[in-house]
Amino acid sequence: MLNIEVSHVAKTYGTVQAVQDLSFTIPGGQIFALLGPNGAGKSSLIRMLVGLTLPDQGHIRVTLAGQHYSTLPDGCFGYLPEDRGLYLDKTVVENLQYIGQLRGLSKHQITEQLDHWLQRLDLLDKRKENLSKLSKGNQQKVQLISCLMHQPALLILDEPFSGLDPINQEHVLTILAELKAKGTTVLLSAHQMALVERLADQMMLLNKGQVVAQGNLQQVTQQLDPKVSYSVTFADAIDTSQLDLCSSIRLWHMQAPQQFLLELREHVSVNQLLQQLSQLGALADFSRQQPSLHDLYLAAVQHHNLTPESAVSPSNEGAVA
Amino acid sequence: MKIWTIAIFEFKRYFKWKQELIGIGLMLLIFTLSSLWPVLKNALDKDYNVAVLAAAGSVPELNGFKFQLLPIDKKADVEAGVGEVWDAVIDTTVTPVQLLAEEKASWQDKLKTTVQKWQQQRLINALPLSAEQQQLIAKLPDIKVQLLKADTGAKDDKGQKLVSAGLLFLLALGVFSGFGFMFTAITTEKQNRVTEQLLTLLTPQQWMDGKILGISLFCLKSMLTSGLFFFLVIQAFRLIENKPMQSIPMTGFEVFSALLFVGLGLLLVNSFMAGFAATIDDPNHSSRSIMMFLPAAPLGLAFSVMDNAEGLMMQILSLFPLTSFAAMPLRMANSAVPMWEWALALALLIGCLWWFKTAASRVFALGIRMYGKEPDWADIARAFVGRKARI
Repeated sequence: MLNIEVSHVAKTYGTVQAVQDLSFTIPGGQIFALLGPNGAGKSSLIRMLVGLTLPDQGHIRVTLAGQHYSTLPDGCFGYLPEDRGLYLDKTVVENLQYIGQLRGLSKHQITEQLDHWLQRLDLLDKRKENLSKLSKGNQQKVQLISCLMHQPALLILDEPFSGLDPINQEHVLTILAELKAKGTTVLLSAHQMALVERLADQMMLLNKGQVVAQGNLQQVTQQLDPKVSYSVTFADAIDTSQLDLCSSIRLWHMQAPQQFLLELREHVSVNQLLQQLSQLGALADFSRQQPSLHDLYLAAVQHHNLTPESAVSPSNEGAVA
Repeated sequence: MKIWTIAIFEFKRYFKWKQELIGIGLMLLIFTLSSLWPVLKNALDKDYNVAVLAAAGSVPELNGFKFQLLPIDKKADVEAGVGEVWDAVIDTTVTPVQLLAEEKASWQDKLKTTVQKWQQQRLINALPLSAEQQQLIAKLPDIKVQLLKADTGAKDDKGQKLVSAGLLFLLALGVFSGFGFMFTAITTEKQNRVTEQLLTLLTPQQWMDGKILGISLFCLKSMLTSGLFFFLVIQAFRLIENKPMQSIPMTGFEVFSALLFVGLGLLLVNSFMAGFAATIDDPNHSSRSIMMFLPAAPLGLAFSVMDNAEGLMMQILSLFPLTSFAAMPLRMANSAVPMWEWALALALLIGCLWWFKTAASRVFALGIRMYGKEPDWADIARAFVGRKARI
């Protein structure tokens, strides 16, 4: 298995600090997700990991089969760039054969891998077509095959789900889960929080080149300090001005007629809230709302943008050893 | 091995049998049209009617013109018909001879030159000289060239000119093909980020070497096929005209040398262009594209000294590594070159090529690391001389 240890890495382009003093470890055989808005520093970090740029400070240490390296060893990883890079004037097979040859695969290995992956990703009937004639999603799948055909120990995927329809997103999720089961380490950056939530063992939320939160889903959720909210539905219409007068409610908004989303004031119990609500009218439904990773992500980035100096420092507990 | 894989891929990207056959077909069509053109032109152009007022004797001869000798007493009638019956009237009764026409036209220059020669011959004929004396005046004197050294390396003049012009034309073809392919190959792939993925499999040096080699081989192929095509067309024309076949006044070694220098020259030029293309981030908005025309300069310099192949300037250009690939084959086609000069020029060219191709990969790596921004001239200069970039 392949481990990556990133220590105090920083990168500046002109006056822009793309990555600021990042340290983390990607354990072998796990799926590690990089999250963050555009310009957060995800691609800059990935470009340093794959050796396209060099860090201004800090270092990257790679461990593979007990050996240590300062960069990723040749042939041990597959890289799917953010901007897709294959020859549009060449057919699917010509593109993949070329990449296979450059990866040092034999003709037999290339044929074997092509047959397997083209079938797996429903591209067999497109094998003789020029890449320019394929849909964005199919081009994306061809690009993915080019990263997988040499069975790398590490897969680095920059926005692997962009351009894919939900069915193909599921397809890719399944493939990534299978690769993980075989011991492949996966580093990916994505915007699709729902997919990342299901897939990633570890994640790191970046904003403006800094870490906002990192760890597994539970650790990240804790670090982002989620505000719990409650959904209440009244049996009959109520006077909404009465909600403002409830001392236990900090914020509310109407989701539908008679249905409201409520946020509690500090140190108020759910029982106190229920007591006050029942005085307003008969309750038809009441439930606790767990914020999604997507909501947490949005809230954390907005908060970080307003007060950059208050970036959450990842706790030792949250950091992946 | 990877370099060859890239080179073959690049060669095949641009080499397409269908395009090759279409190209040969087009060249054949152009040759056919250009050989038929004079016939077609003569058939379409009208003949100009020219009246010649003279006492007696012959009339001028010129394609596209019909001359008619008329007596001097018809002068008034003839002049009255200018513009309707006659396009021009040549009046030999006055001095100097008068060419009368209705208005100025481009055909009059051609007519004037012919009439001048015709009148000169008439004046010579009128002199009290014998036929031999008249011939002596009219004809240019012969000069016999006597050489003290039997073998000076001088060659068949017509063949030399053919080879020199052909070499320069083919070199220009190779250099400009390289410009187009290299510019497209590098800037487009850099813009599309094709290189991002490839550079995780290859070193910048491998990628650049493969590209330079593949595209140079394609340029060499274009030069050789075009050269062979033109040679065969010339032979075909000579066969049709019942003339002996055109020979190439070059020895086997000279042909080998020309191929060697031209091949290395293409690699050198393409290394330069690859390096420059690698600094361009967006070809639509970069002012650096114009710099890629610089490799045409050696061809211009070689052309300017082509008429003095034994001169000092040609000697310098044939040794200087940035111009030797064009000048040395020209010099060898025209005169004997000492072996030590040939070897020195070759060594300098190889050394320069090695420097250029490593510099091109350094500049390319710099361009990739700067990601979305063009390196400035100082960065390029530092990369060119092998110093660490300031990024």
